[in-house]
Amino acid sequence: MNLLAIVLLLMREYRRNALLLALLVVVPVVFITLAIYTTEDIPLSFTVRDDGEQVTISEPMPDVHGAIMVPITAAFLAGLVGLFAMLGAARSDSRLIVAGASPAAVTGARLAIIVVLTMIVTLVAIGVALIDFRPEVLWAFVAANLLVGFTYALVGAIAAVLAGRLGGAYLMFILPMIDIGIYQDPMLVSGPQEFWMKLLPGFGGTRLVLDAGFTDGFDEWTALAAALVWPLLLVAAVVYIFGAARTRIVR
Amino acid sequence: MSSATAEVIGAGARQYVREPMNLVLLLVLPPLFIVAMSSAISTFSGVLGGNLGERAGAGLSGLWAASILTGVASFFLASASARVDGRLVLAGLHPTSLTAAHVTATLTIALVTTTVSVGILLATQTVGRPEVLFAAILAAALIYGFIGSLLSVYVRGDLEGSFVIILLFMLDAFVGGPLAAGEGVFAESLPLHSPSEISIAGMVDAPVKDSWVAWSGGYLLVLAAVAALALSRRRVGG
Repeated sequence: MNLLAIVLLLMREYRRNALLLALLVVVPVVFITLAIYTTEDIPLSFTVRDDGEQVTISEPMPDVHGAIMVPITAAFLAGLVGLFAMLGAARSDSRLIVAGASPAAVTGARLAIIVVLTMIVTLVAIGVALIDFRPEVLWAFVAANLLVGFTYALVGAIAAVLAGRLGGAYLMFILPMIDIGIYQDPMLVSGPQEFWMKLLPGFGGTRLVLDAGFTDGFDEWTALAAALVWPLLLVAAVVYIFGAARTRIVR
Repeated sequence: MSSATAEVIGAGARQYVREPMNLVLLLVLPPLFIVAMSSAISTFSGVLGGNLGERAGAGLSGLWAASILTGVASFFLASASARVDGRLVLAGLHPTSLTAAHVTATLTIALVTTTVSVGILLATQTVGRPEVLFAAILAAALIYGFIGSLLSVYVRGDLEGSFVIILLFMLDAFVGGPLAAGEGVFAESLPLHSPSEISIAGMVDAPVKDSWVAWSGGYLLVLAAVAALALSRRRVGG
């Protein structure tokens, strides 16, 4: 059984689930629309990097809130997707291997499922935000949000291994809210961020979201590095964990 | 409490404690959440048109932490035990005993999260009336605990249940609550609206309206009854 066949097999489980598909759309719509329409329409000043320098810009608060709600929503939903995809893997993937699928194909398929579902929730969130908000550089805004989504999906997958079902759920309900919802949010942290806030998984992607959303050039190189390092490290960890588990099953 | 109920509660507690990470997170996450949220809520309230001070924001963050953690725990524990519960009923255990065990588990988790939250608030803030704050947070935690139990009966799947909880919580926190100065029938009829108002009154020593107490108590009793009925019917259907 090859990777594509396993992905299609696993996706069938999700396609049959009408409630899940509805929620994948409804939750981002409610989150982001509410954020935009309940925010006071006053200007907000915050710092971004433009032409190589930290500058303070002023933007309408509903735009800032709408823009920042996309990575928050993506992180929340993708984190839960990663958590439960990994827990589902623990139940079903060993059977696939026993049935003859290669461990590498099963690992790749599980990661592909996480990527597909993360893309769905993130793109829906971006689509909803675009109804009311026009980012300066659309492709970069999309890419930055996808990076946040993938990062948190992988955090969810690791949380599944480290903390299990209930502990993982506790973590994935609280972590995105604290990281992106507070410490990366320019509405709540004015001025330069503390160094430790830059070590959190949401830092790089969220800075890229703000850069793409509100400036027309690209200057956030440190943020880009952080946004790439986190998912790369997490992918390596997930592959290692999957690999170790599969090896035990094969033996 | 019958010996069968006590036995089921004991088994559930042993299962929970067997995963020490669950207990550690239940004790560690509320302080993290409250410390991170306290000042942020005050600032964020301005963004949404509210006018909460830092103490009020801290009270609200304690209430949110206890509610969300209790709701999540109740949902996952009740949905995880559905199959086992069915077998226990087939083996002769009365559904009422199982339902009583689930309600007791929700009460216990709500008490733990409330005690941790109030403890952190007492350690970090000036609390006007701790007993009012404790009652409000416990009511909110129980309300979400019973919502979690109810969802476990009707929503199959961890991911779907999590999405529903988070959707309801976001509506509750950002539309219905004092954060955005939520007013009107819709805002005031959301589950956390009245307990949130009482928690703020407890923090800043303000008067508590009778209508808040009535709404909170009403929500709590109705949800407890509906959740217990749904859980007991699930057992019968097993």
